[in-house]
This record gives sequence, C-alpha cells and structure tokens, in this order.
Amino acid sequence: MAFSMTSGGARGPQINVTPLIDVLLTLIIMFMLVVSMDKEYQEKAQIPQPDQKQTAVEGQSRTIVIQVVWTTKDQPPTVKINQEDVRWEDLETRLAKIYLTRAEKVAFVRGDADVDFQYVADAIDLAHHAGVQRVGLLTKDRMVDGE
Amino acid sequence: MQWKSRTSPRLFSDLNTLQFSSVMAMVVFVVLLVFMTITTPYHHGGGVNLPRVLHPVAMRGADREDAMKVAITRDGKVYFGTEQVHVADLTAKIEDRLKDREVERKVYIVADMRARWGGVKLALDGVRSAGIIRVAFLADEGRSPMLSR
Repeated sequence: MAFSMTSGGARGPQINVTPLIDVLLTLIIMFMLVVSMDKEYQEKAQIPQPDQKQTAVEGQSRTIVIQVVWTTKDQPPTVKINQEDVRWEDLETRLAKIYLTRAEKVAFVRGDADVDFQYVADAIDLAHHAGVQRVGLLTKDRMVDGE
Repeated sequence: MQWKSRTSPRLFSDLNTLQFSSVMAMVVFVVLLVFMTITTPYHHGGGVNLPRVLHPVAMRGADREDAMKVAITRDGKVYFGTEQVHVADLTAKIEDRLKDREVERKVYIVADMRARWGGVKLALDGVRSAGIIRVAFLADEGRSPMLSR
C-alpha cells in the first residue's frame, strides 16, 4: 500500500468541476438578463432655491400649485389646484386644460407632512403627463405669490 | 524509457485539465459575484418600496457609480448612498461630494412609497441647502397601489 502511494500510480478521487462551471455559467446568463431588463425610472422635479423662486414666480399671472392634503388615517388625501378641490381622477384632465394655453408649463407641488410619498409622486406624475415641463417642490408651508 | 513516454504525458494532460477546470470555475465564480453585486437592490434598513406611477421616464443617470442617491425609508431613516446619516448632516455630506467637479449636480431620491412626505421634505431641504436644484425621484412603472384602491 505504501508502495502504491509513493509511486503516484493510484491517485485519490477528484472533483469533476465541469457541471459546476455549467451551473455558474447559467447563473451568469440569468444575472446578465436581469441587469439588461431591469430599467430604472424616475420622476423629475426641482427644488427652487429661495431667491430664485422669487424671480421665477414674479410676473406670472397665476401660479399653479397642486396641493396634496391629508384627510384622515387610512384614507387617500384630497388634492387641490390653487385651493380648489379636484378629484384624483380629474386631476390630469384639469391640468391639461390649464396648461393647454400656457407658454410656461411650470407647476408647484405642496404636500402635507403626514401624506404618504406615493400620493405626492402621483401628483408629480400626473402633472408631467398633463404637459407640465417643470415641477417645483414646495418644502415650506408658506403660500406662493399668485396662488 | 518506454514506460515514461506512455504515462507521463497523460498525467501531465490530466493535471492541465484539472488546473484549467479549476481556474475556469474560479473565473466564472468571480464574474458571477460581480453580477450578483450589480443586481443587488438597495438594502436600507428594511428596504425601500419605490412608488408606482403610470408615466415615469426611463433614465440612465442613476446607474452611474458617482450618482448621489438619498434614500428615505418608510420609518423615516435617511441614507446617503449606503451610509445612514442624520438629516441635519445631509447638506455637509452632499457639499463634500460636490467638491468633485465630475459629480452630476443632481440628487436621486429613493423614497419609500409609504414614507411620510414630511420626512422627505426634510431631506429635500437638506439637498437644497447644498445648492442642488435638480432632483429625480426613483419610481417603478405601474398603477398607483393607493389610488386604485
């Protein structure tokens, strides 16, 4: 026995790594497909700087502010366009009507602190789809000139 | 001599095959690890469920390695990149990154759909204080789960 070990004639069992490579390659292909299929999406917005906001808002006849107002727990918030209540389903058509004749397609979005972010994202999304090119986010609770 | 010529090349070939397979397996494993790292989604505390909207815009900028991403989890925790930060420190962190001229002057907001807007507003105030105007909210394409109830 000792003789056969030292002679190198009988070698121990070896792991066949070929199936392992096959499995790894399959996994790589799957991950490559996931990477290529997984697109990221965004909703663009702007947070106006305090001094710039003054100049941007001045001179406009009427600034459009979309307001997302918290109602009660577990209930969807209400939405307003310049203090006027609008149904969520009608928001896009109302905005589209407003911006049809406007040259500057700018709107501001303001939300109550307790509102879920999803609703604010909905408001931004509907505004963009209604033709608004730039959405400004109002993070302070004060009123905007022309609102 | 004859014995050597018969067995030695075979043994050499076996060893080569074994080495090649092992090296191949290692290379494939490393590539797999790289892909797994790329595809790993955000792990900010309990994770972030992106808001679902009907008409989001496809983008490439957030894929950049140096993209500034601010995440807000459902419980209001704020992350800058993968590091949890206090919202008051966000401005300093962004200003620090902006020292690099190559960095895009835009912040990508990765906010949970159920995060309170008040918390997101605080983070946005921090972003604005750093002189950033342009932000983009990462979103998933789909029907809003809350409005469709």
